[in-house]
This record gives sequence, structure tokens and C-alpha cells, in this order.
Amino acid sequence: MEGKRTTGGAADPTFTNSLSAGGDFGHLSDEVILMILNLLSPKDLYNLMKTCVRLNNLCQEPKLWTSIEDPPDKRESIHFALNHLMTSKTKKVKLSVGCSPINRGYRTSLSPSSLKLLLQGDHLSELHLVNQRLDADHFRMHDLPPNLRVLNMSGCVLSNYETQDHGLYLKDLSLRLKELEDLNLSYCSFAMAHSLMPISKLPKLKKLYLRGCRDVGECLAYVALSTRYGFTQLKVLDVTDTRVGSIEFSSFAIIKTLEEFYFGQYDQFLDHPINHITDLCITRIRNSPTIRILDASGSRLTDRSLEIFESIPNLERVEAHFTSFSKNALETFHRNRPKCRIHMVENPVQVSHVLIRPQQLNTTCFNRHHGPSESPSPSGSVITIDTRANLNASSSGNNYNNTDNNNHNV
Amino acid sequence: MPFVNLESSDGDLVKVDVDVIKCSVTINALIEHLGLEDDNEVVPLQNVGTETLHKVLAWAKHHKDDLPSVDDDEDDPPRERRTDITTWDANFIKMEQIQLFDLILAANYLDISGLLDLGCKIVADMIKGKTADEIRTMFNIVNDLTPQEQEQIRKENEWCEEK
Repeated sequence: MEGKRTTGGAADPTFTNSLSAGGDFGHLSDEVILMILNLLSPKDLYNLMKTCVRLNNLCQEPKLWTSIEDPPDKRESIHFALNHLMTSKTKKVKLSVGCSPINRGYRTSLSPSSLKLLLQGDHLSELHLVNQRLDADHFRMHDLPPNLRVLNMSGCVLSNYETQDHGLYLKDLSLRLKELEDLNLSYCSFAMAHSLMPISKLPKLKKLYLRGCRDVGECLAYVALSTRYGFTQLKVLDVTDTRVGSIEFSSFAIIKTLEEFYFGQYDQFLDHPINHITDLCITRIRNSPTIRILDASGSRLTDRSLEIFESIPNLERVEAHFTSFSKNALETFHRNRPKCRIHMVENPVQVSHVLIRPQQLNTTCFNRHHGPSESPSPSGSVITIDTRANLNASSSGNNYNNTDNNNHNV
Repeated sequence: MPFVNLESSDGDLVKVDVDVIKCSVTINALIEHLGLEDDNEVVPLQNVGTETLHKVLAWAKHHKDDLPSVDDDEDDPPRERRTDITTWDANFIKMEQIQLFDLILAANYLDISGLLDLGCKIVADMIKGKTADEIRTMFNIVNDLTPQEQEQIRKENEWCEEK
């Protein structure tokens, strides 16, 4: 790749700088280079800026910066990024702090001035605020950019939301965000049973993730009303690790457009002895023409449910970890529905006398709580109360959770 | 089936089926405006070498039955429209860097959007995840930024910096 050509072939006469002298890359016109830059992320653009003058100049093109993704969790730099890059053309903002065992549930606080900048983006269509700490007084639903298609607030901790409209924080959601298609409120403690009402009125909502929102499903009346009169377009519903039990399941099952339904129980602490999702309520989705994917992990379903699953014509995949389907029933199912996959980690996983180091304890402990709780309890002692089988089950369950979450975010 | 004669910058003549090269907006326009009915007519391509021209034609031949691509929409930047590269294209594009850039130049000159998109994707993939130093080495770029400019870039983009 040594510079075979020093002249000629160039469509652009302006490059008299180092770029054209050395590499062939420099023979490309500004127009073509901009096409390439348009395919790159802010981080890659930043690395290109540092290479030479011409690329630095090209990278300044405002059109390239329509998305702000993952500035590091430093208040000043987030503010800087928003201040310099947030324009009326910005379409996507993604601020996320991986809530990993290493940072122990640490969350960035977005300052009121940063939030103000964020909410100025008229063209904003995707807003991801993952694991952030927000002040509800400065982040009100009726201030959000009206054209949002995707709102992801998973793992956000909201302060002062109780004081707003008597705790009805999401009240204005459906009045303001008429274009919203994808709403993720996983592990948000402000998503409560009555939140289903405004959410169900979102006219274009197709995907709803309420994973780990324990209070959702707490009150049957809200579930019944919202599913009967709302959720007209909903295709994906994730109520994993919530208190959605048999009666609420039956209500959700009447949503006619539902294609993916995740109702697994990975968090063993939530196990509610009276309100299991049973074979009986699964009959509600018998013959459903739309359902493609089900997650029934951790449920008490028996082989009879497999027969019901068989009746669902378009079923492609069932997650059935930690369930007690028998080998025979599974074999029959596979014979009858060879194209439908069932994913299953058998239950319970026996771990005998494994030495658990404190580090692992914290990890598991953290995983358990990687929801609305502020900071995982520093001592690992809590976890040891639980059985080892559950411990293992929970951690593999969470692995699944993670991959699944990634899919949602793509 | 009408044919057109293309002359590469190396002076070689290549006879091409008009149906194959219709993906090139440039040549299409030439044929239409100049009315190149005669099979002996020659279109000179000063910016395209013989080797590159053959590559372009190989690509055009494979894609000649593709549906015409939809016009670029302002509201729909390529970043979101990105589709996967087919196996054929992936094999086709395996070439020396210098040939790749020549191909992109040719695609740009001949205005073949599909081929240009493919080339840009490949170059973008080459850049992805690399440091400034690695990019400079890969593309033979000389760093002509002053220390002051470098400091300025660093300061303004602190938020992009990996922690």
C-alpha cells in the first residue's frame, strides 16, 4: 500500500496535504469520505479526527453527529456533549451506564441543565437513558420531544416523582407521545400498576418492556381495563419478573396483536405461592394466530401447557428454563412442531459444595437487585440464605436476561 | 442486444452489454444524450483503469437483475438503512487496499450507487474500533496536526474518550 501514485486519478483537486501524498485513502473525494464517515460512530469519528487535518475538518460536518451515544459517566462531559452536539437535527441520544457488578449499581446523575438541553431536540426520535438518575421535576412527560419513537428509561431512578400529580408521573405520556412505538421501563420503580392506563393509550405502541417492575400487575382492575380498551397495536410485551400472575396473564392474553410475550420468573424472591401462571390460564392463548415467542421460564407449567403451545400455529420459540416439562412431552412436541425451538435449562441445577468466594456472592447479590434498588447491599450474607440451586439458577437466568436485553436495545 | 465500447484510461477497449452497465448513471446519461446507437461508438473513461473496469463490470453483471435502489431520503440516513453484505459481495470485495480505493473512485465517477455503498461499508468496517495511530498506519496518513490542534480536539471530545 505504499503510495504508488502521487498524482492523477484524483477527482478532487483540493487535497494538497499529507493525505494525498501518502495513502490511497486521500484520493477519495470529500463527498465519498463523508459517505464513509456517515457509517461510523462518534467514537470512531473522534479517532479519525486525531489522524490529520483533512479528516479532522471533514469530521466537523454537523450532519455526521446526529446521534450522541454513551459519553462516559462524567457530569461535565455529558453536559459538554449535549451542549455542543444537541441540535434541532439530532435524532438519537443514548446515555447508558452499564449496571455491571463492577460499578455496583452506580448511576450517573443528569443535571437539570443537561436535561433541559436534551428536551430541546425537536427531531429527537430515539432517547435512551439507561441506568440514569433523574429529577422528575426537570424531566416531565409533557416536556418530552413529541416525535419520540423510542423511549428507553430502563433502570432509571427518579427522584421527586411522588410529588407530581399525586404520583401519577406517567399521566401525560399518551397525550404527549403520540408517535411512541417502543417503551422500555424495565426496573423503573415509578412504573406502577396504574401506569398501565396511560401506557395502554399510546396509539402506536408496539413494544413494551416492564421487566422487573414488581408493582405492575399488582392491581387486576388496571390490567383488565388497559388490555380491554387499550394496547391496540402491541406486539411485544415483557412482564418478566413482575407480579403478573394467572389472572393478570389471562387479561394480557386478550391483546389480539401480541406476537412476543415474556412472562418468566427468574427472580426467585418474587415467587408468589398463590398466584402462579398455570396451565389453566395458558389455555387463553390456545390457537392464537399471532404469537411467535413465549417466555415461560420459572413458571409452574406442566406438560399440558406444551399441548396448548402445539396449537399455536406460528409459534417459533419458547423459553422454558427452570420448568418441569418431561422428556416425553418435549419429544412429542418436537415431533409435532419440528420448527419450533424450546430453550430449557433443567430445574433445579444442583451445585454441590462449591466454594463461593465473596466476589461471586456480590455478583449474584447484585444481579438479584439489578433493578430499582439503589445500591446492592454490600454484604454478601443475604444471598447465602437462599439455596445453592436457586443461586445457580438465578445467575444463569440473568445471563439470559442480559442477552435478551441486548436484543431489545438493538 | 445493444452494446457499448468503453475505453479505459490505459487505452484498452471493452465491449459491454448496455443492459449490464445500466447501473451506471453516468454511462446511461451519455448513451441517452449522445444517442450512442452505433455499436462502434467509444466512450472514453479517463478515470478508470482496465483492471478496475473489469472489476466494475463483474459486479454490474452479477447485480444486473437487482431492483433499482430507492432514492436517498433526507430523513433516513444510511446509518440506519445499513443492510448486510451478501456473501457474493463479500468475496468480490476481497482485494488489495489500492484496488479497493480505485474501485470506489470508479464507482463514484460512474455513479453506481450500489457499488459505492459496498465500498464505503468495507472502508468504514476497516476503520471501526481502530485507534488514530492504527488508522494512520493502515491508510498511510501523515499526521499534520499541530500539538495545539491535537490538544484542542482532545479537549472538545473528552466525552468520546474511552475511560
